[in-house]
Amino acid sequence: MKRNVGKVVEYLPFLGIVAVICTTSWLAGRSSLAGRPSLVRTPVRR
Amino acid sequence: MSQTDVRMDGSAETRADREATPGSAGGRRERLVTHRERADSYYGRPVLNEPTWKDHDIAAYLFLGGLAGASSTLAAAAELTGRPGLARASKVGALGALGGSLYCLIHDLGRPERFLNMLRVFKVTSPMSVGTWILTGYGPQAGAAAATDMTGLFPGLGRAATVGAGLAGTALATYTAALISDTAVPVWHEAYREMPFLFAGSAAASAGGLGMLAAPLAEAAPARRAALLGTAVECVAASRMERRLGPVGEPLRRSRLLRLGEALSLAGALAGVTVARRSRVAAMAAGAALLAGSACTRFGIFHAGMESANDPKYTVQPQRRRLAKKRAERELA
Repeated sequence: MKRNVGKVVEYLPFLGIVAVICTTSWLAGRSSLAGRPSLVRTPVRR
Repeated sequence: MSQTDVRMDGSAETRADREATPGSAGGRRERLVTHRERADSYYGRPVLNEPTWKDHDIAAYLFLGGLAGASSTLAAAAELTGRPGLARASKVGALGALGGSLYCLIHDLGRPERFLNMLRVFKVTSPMSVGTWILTGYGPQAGAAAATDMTGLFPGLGRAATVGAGLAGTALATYTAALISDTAVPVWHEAYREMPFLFAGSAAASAGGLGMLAAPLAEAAPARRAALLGTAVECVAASRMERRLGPVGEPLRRSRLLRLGEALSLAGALAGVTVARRSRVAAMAAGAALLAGSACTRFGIFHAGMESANDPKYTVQPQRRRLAKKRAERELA
């Protein structure tokens, strides 16, 4: 049990790095939409 | 009493000191070989020392380096074809993956100075030396490409850095295949023909997956195509490698990680060209599957190599085959 926990802990930095890459990349992709009205969903005014 | 017995009291009838026969007192006597050892073993012991590499460092480095390099290439293609969302997401992803791969590499080396010490020489016949220089040349360009895109400063410099990082990225994504094929580990060494294609395909699939996960749907078409092409190349290279290696390829054929990696990559790539074109959630799920599939492939290759290093038959069998081939050629001549 202790050995398995140790194994999982060894992989945490890698998993953390992958999570950070995906999050920052996703945020960067979203931020590129901000200045482009054609791709941003805006409420229709009636 | 035998003349060869060694005694502590140095009796006159015994041969002591330098004259003594080693191990002749009985306890350390050499054992007679009563049978021939099997041809595929070395007394049941590993012939090679297992590499000291740890999978959470080196397999992670293989994956993150491939992701960084291929993401930069995808970013350059997106920038040149007018897809700023995909370009920005890929540039930021490439910079993050580069940071992660450097962390893994330096963690494996033990001290950061060791990386700097490798820059004291450039040896074209050493994949490790060439790789260090590729990483050093690629890093600043990937950093400049991401920084100029995020800040909007120096657009000309940003475009040049993006193209430069895209070109250097192809080398970064594939040099690791040469690096591991240049070792004595049987599976990696024997697979030198297919390994660069496998790594290139896996890198393209992971970069495509990250693009699908992060970029707007309207701009993600190149990421979907990269993922499909990368997965196809990866699967063909892997199956060809497993067949060509014959008995040495057993650890590859047995690897559950490789099978899982193929399944995830195929599922992600197929979802990418079908449902992920219309649904944001499906695109993110497909992208995550592709990233996980590529990581499983790299870890699977790493573990198969370690397994082959620990079992002497994977070292002895190819040697004996080569010897037999040479002998046959000599006899024919």
